[in-house]
Amino acid sequence: MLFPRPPHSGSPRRVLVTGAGIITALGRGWTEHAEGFRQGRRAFRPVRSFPVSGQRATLAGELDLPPHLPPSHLSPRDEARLDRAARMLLWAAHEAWTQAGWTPDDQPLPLVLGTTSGGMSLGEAFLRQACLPQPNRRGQATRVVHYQAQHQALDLMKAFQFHGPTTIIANACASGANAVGHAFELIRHGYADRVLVGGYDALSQLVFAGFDSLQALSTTHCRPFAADRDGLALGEGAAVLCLEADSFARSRDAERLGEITGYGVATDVHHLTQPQPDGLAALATMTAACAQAGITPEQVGYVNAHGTGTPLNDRAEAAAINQWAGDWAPHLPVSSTKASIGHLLGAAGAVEVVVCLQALRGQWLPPEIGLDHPDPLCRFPLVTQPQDQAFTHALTNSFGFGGANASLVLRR
Amino acid sequence: MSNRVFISGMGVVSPAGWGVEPFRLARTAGQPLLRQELTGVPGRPGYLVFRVPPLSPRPAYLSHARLRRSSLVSQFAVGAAFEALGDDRTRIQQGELRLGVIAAVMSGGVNYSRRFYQEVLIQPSTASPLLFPETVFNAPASHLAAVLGCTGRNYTLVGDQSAFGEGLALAADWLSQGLVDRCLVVGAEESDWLTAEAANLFDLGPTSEGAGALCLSPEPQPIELTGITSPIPYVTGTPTHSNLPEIPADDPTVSLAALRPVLGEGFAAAGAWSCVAAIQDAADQPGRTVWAQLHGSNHQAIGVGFRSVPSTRPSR
Repeated sequence: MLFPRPPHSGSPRRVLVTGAGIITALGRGWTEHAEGFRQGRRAFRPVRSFPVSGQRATLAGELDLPPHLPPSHLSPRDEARLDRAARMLLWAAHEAWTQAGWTPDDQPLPLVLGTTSGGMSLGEAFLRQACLPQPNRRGQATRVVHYQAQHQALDLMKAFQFHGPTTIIANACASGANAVGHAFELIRHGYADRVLVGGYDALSQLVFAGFDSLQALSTTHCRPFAADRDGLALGEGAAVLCLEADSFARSRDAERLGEITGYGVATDVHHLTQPQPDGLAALATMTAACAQAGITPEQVGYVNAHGTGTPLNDRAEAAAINQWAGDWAPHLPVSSTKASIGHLLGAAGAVEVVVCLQALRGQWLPPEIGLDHPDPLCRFPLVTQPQDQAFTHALTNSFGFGGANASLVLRR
Repeated sequence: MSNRVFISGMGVVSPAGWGVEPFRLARTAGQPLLRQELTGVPGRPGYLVFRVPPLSPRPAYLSHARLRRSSLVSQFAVGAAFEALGDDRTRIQQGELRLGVIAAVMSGGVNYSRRFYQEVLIQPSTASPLLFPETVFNAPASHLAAVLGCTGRNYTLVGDQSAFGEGLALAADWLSQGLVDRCLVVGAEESDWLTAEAANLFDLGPTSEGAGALCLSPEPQPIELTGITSPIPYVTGTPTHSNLPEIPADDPTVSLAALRPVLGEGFAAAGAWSCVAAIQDAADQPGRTVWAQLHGSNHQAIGVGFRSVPSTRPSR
């Protein structure tokens, strides 16, 4: 039963990451990304998936999907029906699942996914076909079903032969972070021993045009926290994590990639698309996440900022980091990896958790190459060159439309 | 912290009208409500769908700046939520109670999404920036938080009719962890020609719109949430319509199918309406648990049980 839950006695459980998979414009897999993020490589190109000629911006972190899919229990017919987003999700899940060494069993395995768009490209195709002067229903039922995020969840269950409760969180650009945070809480409070969690979103014409209509897209190149920043760049991809209770992971000698120790969540009610200028909700989430992790800002060795590159977001986030870090701000390295891969919307939070895990394991900081003129509002040092760094705790921020704010703390 | 969870209020916006009482009357009458035709493509026949009647006079809360240009799904969500909150709304707005907000949607702001994308297809450089922000799934939950001034937890869950049941389970977790003092769970949808076109492919019958909301509280109330079953996902692609195994065979149930002829197929809103109907039935059968069986259309099946508790103060 989902309710009432079996009583859980004792203190909250530790939550380990034992598998991580990632696919973005930087490439596919942990190793390729660790190298790319460590060097601050940028992965933008003119969008090819849909026409952008009538828009202000034309670049995005678009990836080349492999022509095949990873091995799974999906039939060729199932695979043929997967859209771009579902394929990315499957790649990331396969890497995480394999890395964790999980195998199918009869025990329910909760699945938590964050997305803003699900299979949006199929939804777009449905509308285009539905509006034809002569109705043509061929393929329309498949588009309706596979457009919906719940079907991508079912595809994952089928691919890896598991079952369990599914939670699909659509909190705009904080969806991925909220998904990881929710999975963290399921284990921490004893509701599950392990959880498969991730975030995913593919580029789509509707969303690209949407951000363009808001004049939120950079027409040059995305440079978060630069004094002359002019907007964000969209990206696409997926990240999936295998989370386990410490005791469960130890019982099977699982390798730990890192630990999630804190989660903070708050709602900014200032405006549907604009943050409150002082970043009060961001301040609340960073404070809450650190309190739960039992650390102070002085113990955080790196902040992976939400850092979209829009004037309003970066100003509010800088204000929040300044206030949260206080006197420690001048010693706190901060960067936004959206400078490398763009803003992955519902995938961003999960992807940036993987970035933090990689940085913690490798003891380096991901730079924003080419950030020559930091915004003087930033009292903290921005990482602009590849840099080795000994540190134990990282914090990652995710904020979204609707005022969704989330922060996560990770430990090496 | 007690693990018991109670229903402190409920609200409905449906084709029967704005409020729980019109919903109850329509359900009792059992007659299909009036439908309207929605057309999408010129020259092609439209679809008959159930619509929510306009609210007259328009309540003051719908004049809030955040709701002025909002889509109908947001307005329905706020309408149902305000009814469910009842007197607690003032205490929440004054900061005396921490409110969590969970919205469940399937199509969400489909009307603005469809309109925006149609504008993009004609000329992307002139697509309206007023439409795009309302296309995000969490717009209704965000507007609701803004109208109430709630800066706490706020999630939007996507799924089929069962998403409302998931939302109740999440709300119960937040209450038992002491993260919130009340938790509002809202299921909401709006009608659009595009949704009707899609539903028509699956013989789901006329689509509908509206919202349903339950406010959950750890403090004793006349109705208790007694159980939420483990979900049964449709991994094989075949929805189940049999009784859920964790529901005792003798317990009365309310199904989505029972409401559909009267109110249409309301997706996530229908999940909420079924729970309200189960609560109404439970109130008539003190001591018995009545289950809403949410056999979703394409995700999973989940059951939610409610019981009337005789020894508490009268319901609002």
